[in-house]
Amino acid sequence: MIKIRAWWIFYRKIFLYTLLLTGLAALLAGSLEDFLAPAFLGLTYAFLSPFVHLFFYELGNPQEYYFYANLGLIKHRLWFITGGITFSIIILITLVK
Amino acid sequence: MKSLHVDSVVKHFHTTKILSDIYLSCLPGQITGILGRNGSGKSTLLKIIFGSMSADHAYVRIDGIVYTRRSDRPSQIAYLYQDSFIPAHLKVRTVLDLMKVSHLAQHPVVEPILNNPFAEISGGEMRYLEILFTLNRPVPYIILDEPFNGLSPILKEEVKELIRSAAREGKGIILTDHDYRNVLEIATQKYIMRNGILKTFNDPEELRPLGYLP
Repeated sequence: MIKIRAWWIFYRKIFLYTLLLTGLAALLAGSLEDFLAPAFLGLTYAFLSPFVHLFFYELGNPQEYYFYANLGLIKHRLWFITGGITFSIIILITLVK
Repeated sequence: MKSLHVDSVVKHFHTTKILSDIYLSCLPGQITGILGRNGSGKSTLLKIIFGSMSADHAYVRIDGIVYTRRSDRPSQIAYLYQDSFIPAHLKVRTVLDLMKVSHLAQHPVVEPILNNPFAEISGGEMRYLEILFTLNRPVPYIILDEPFNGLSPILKEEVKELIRSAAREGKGIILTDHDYRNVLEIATQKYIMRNGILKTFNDPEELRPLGYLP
């Protein structure tokens, strides 16, 4: 339970900022209809979230990795989860299509 | 036998050998101090033991169990990183829960700031809390990388007492710091790292010919 809570604290920053960037991408795309299209939303999120992870943790706050490592979530496991979510979204979109 | 046993640690960065066949052991209740010049590989060794860094080769046995998977070691070892590492937006109470040290909620330093985020705490106080929480984690071995860094003399004294107290409770502690006087004062076994090799010593005078002390 602690690990799940710790992971969510780690991931929610990635989640919120990726969602924000996905919204901005939709605005640039030109319409709310595009934004609400699950394929667009999913693929944009899947593409952007590893970069948000990279920006906030690898470049911005790499020392925080040691906090999560103390809770049993070492760096490569956190990357594996971010990558896993991205991969799952892409698979889901492919199956739904 | 209960001990943290580290053997055959080898690490290269590209073609440069950083650690060369390191052997280290720490028993419950022992305070192991590691000294060494900047860039000698102390922090690299501690990260490898904890599991946050890979090695070319490392054998880590904790209380008789060999930990080949790095990700399993944090269940037995707590690690204090050399800079502040707790996310600043988290409240003290949340960190207490996550680090399984809720019993410290009544601690005189902790209680008044329980609902404050770490971002609102001074640097020295934050470091003291990180050390306090790390030493109280429910694990048998603790690694402290530069615990005296950025602390006032009074806080250094308190931290030394915290470390001694954890050792008295039976925890094995490995620490390194450039404040060698305080390390030598509390360490029950002492090592110097030089050219990627760890060497034990007893008398600080032995550090002069090794180029650590002037």
